[in-house]
Amino acid sequence: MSIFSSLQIGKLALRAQYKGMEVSGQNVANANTPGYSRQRVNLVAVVPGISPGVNLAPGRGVKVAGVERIHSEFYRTQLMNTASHLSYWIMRQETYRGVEVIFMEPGEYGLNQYLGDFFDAWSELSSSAESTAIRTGLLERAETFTRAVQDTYLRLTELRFDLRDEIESRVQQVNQLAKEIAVINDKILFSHALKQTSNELLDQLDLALEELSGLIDIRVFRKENGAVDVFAGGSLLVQNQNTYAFDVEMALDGTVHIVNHHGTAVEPQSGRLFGLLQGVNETIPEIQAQIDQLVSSLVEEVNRLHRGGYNLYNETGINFFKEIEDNGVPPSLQFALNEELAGDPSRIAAASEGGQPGNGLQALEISRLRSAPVMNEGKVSMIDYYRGLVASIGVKGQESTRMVEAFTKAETQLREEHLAVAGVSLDEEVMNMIQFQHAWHAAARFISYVDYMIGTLIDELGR
Amino acid sequence: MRVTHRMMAESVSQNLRLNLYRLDRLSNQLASGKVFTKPSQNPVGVSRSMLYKTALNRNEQYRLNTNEARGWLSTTHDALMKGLEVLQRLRELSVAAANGTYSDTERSSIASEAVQLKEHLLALANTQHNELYIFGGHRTLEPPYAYNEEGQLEYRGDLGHRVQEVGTFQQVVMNLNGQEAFGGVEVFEAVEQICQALLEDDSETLSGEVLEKIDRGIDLFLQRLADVGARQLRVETMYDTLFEQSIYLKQMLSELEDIDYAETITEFQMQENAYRAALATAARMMQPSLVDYLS
Repeated sequence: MSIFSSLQIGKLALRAQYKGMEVSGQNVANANTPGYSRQRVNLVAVVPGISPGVNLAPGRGVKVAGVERIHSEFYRTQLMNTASHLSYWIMRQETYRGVEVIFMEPGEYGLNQYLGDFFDAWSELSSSAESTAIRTGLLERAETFTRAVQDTYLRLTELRFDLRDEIESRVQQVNQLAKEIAVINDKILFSHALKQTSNELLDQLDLALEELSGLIDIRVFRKENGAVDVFAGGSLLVQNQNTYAFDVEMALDGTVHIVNHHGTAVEPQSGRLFGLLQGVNETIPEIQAQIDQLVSSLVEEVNRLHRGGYNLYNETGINFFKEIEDNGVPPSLQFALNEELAGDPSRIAAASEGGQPGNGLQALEISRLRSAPVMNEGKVSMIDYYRGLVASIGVKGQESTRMVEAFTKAETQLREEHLAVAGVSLDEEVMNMIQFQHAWHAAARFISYVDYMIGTLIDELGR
Repeated sequence: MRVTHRMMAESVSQNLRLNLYRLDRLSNQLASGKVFTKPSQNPVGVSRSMLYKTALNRNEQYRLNTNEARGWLSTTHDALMKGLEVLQRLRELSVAAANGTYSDTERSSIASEAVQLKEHLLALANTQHNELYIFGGHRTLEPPYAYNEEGQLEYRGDLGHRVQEVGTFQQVVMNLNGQEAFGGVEVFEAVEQICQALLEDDSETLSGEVLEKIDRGIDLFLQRLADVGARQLRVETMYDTLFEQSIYLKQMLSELEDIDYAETITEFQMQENAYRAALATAARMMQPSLVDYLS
């Protein structure tokens, strides 16, 4: 061990402390970068070689063993799962909010009011069957009611189309993220081949994966070399540098499916896409089917009674509403007044017998339909059926709101836990910088002392 | 636990968001005066609120119906009362004419009064309410009593009953048809007979058969008046009941939907304080770091 090799120790020390400074600088610079995991420089003392006969083997200085990325795989995975669930419930909440806005209950412009008004008008007619004014009023209320039903139905369809459009763009987004992940995979493989690690690439990968997990539930397989394979909704999406893009298919009945490159269905279990698919394929069609059911029963029951009554012209057997045909058009959109009746209120059959203008008994029968159990195989009245529909929308909306709250809390907590591990603490970094600075100073001083000592050797002894 | 600045920033903003959300919810409640405005805020409440509103509207319709029935019944009542007076006067006249000794002039004036009374009774039988003939059963658009070509009075109405819905499964018949009120043309025949007998000075008929008939008419009217009176009473009771029910329903609806202002304002103020506190804490917490204390 010569005095000259001591200079080597000084040099290594300067380099190592400077590296520490650099890493702290990188941390401070990225304190607010999304997805950034703090890094730590790992310093190790250089182990001296074994020299026989030397009792006090001196150290050989310090070296940088690596720059470690500090993060928690556990929290990362948890965060991704939570993000999937959270965005699923947010989507569901949005869907039900949209539906609620359409129904406008409780209020004066909801179907509840119009349905009640419709039956009230029949009750009113039953006591003044001769009155043209009241007959006209009934026709107007019935027409308002049919329009309100159609409007509600069409707005639900519009909402469904909006969701369907979003599915298209979200699937594009999934494909885009898949490409990004594949590109990062490629870079990771390249740097791995050069025996380098890039913490920043890994951060980017995690960020992309987290974004993807908000859209669809994913499973990630990490490999030795750092690259990942990703399954989304049970289908392979990314493998090393390759992506297998998803596509959207629409069935004839208006339902929408996501398919993988083989053409088989991708079945998400959570994520925003799952919420969207549920909205398009289940939630909205089910609500519309219930409205259809209500309309069909109403038309059938009112027509049945109306056909049995007599109008002011002594005619009988006329429908009040247009008959619902089985022609593929939803009943709600066929819901309209019988054209024979529309312009002529005298054609309303209020009487139970012919030639009795003051007879309103048939109208009374129709007004009683309001509390007659004609829905669900004779168990529920029409008004109760509708109330049940609104209540179930409310219950599901409420459920989604609660779930959003719960998962938001869980997500916040997990993010905190993760930041506790991976986040940059400025205080800590400043402390580190001070320490590195001091060590660097001392190393520099060490070099100058050794230099002085060498000077002494050369200048004084050689004289 | 290791605490980082980013973490603090996130939790501060999360807390502020939560506080602001609560403030927003309370201020919405204060502005609308309602505890909930959407089904998802309280599904059961909304369902009940819809139920109450439907019931209220229905009650309102029942009240209108009850009012209509009231009008019909009181018009019927008035007509019958007047009819009763007519019959009683006719009875007096026929009794007087049968027993008394009147001069020809007096007798003819009695006879002409009887004819007037007969016409009056006919007019009563054709009484209208809101331009509808109330004694015609369901045939309400034309006078139920009219003379045919042979000069015979006939009843052209039917036996219809106008049923009025005044409550769920509660109904009132609000009319008397001609058959019920006047026994078809029976009462008029009796009256016609009196007029004839008076004109012909037939005191035997006046004291005998006719008197019996007119008494039967009076009995009929009295009976019908009692009947109509009972129905009127029922309608009045129903009207009051509906009124009370409406008040009760409105109260229930209000308890369900309306906010308690005192409570909500207090809550709002508390929440506002919490928000201010969160802001103040955030401001103090976000500022310092070790850097501030190094030269």
